[in-house]
Amino acid sequence: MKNIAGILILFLSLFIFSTAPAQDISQLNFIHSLDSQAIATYGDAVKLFAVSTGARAGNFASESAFLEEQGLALKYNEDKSLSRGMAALMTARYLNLKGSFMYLIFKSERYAYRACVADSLMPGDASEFDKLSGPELLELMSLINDKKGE
Amino acid sequence: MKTIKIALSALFILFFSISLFAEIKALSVSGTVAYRDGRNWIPLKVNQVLKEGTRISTGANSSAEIRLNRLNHTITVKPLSMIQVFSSESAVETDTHIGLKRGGVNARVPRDSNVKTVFKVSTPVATSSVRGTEQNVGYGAGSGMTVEVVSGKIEAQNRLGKSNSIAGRQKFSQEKGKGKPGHILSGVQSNSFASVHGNGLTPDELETGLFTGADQTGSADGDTGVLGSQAGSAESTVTVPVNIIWDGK
Repeated sequence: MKNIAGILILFLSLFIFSTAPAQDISQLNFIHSLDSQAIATYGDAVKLFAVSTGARAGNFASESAFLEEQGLALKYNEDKSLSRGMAALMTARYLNLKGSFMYLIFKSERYAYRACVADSLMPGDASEFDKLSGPELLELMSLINDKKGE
Repeated sequence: MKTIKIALSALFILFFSISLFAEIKALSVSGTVAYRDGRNWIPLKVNQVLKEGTRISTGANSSAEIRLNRLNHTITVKPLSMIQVFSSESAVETDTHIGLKRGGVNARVPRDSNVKTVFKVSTPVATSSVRGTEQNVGYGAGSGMTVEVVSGKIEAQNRLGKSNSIAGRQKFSQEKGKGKPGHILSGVQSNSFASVHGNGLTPDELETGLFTGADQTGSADGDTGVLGSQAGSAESTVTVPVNIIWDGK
């Protein structure tokens, strides 16, 4: 009986260790694919914010639900092209930005973008309606990570 | 006897001048980090030795510390980064080149006066060279390359040969498609050592200003950006009256 339990534990640990790296690589594959996208989607932003805030990689519905709990989700379809304003609002909520007085009153994408400009997370010479590319979304997340680490 | 001496000297010189591939080793790994082997991405493990020219990629909330040679030249690869590492060394010199495609690295390069050190971090828009220093280098599609010095001094040069030597709180920044790097004080120009507010504010407005802070001084160019545009050029001399009220209790 003891031997069977030992064998089961061995198989279980082998299973865990053999599956974990595969999941990790799928996250990297997503990042590499995002790096070559001309326009990112809301679904890409949801996945990136979800894995960055500690969710396990899943599908759009599970990741959206996770972000909803964190107060970061927006009301868009997965395939909706990502604008600076959308990414800015998710960022401003995630980092709890206070750099724009107008954003503190109106929690809109427009003023979230201004709050991101004030914190040097986005360029001041752009618009909240601009579409964000995959590399730009990755860069924004890198800046968010730096900000979190400060 | 003379021939033997010459032969020994030649061997000695040859031995010390031959560059060998340095040992590139992962010292620590956190989260999702992988290296490219052929067409596949393989999870990176602690103490793993990597080949010259290996690509390393990090995921969200992930990082890796990589030792590049026997002199303990080390980099920490930040989250969402992709790099390629080249490192060779001999008894008298080390030559390390990091290609940064995206994300950021923290590079620590201790000085050894007996060894000629070449340590470069390159991005698609510029290259930084360091010796005996620590720096943070980042590259992104929008903001281009930024280099901040943690300790020591570095020199950074864009693709057109325009270079900046920076130290302290100065910053090298090179945007894609621009001919010259940004101002080396761009990182500190919006940060004043005291709160700055205009004249004629009511106490309520002042209180609001203190609360919202960044709306007053924290835009991308800040007050100094406005000052610069009024002065006409970066070379102009501007007189700024500063009244400091000393409360000598």
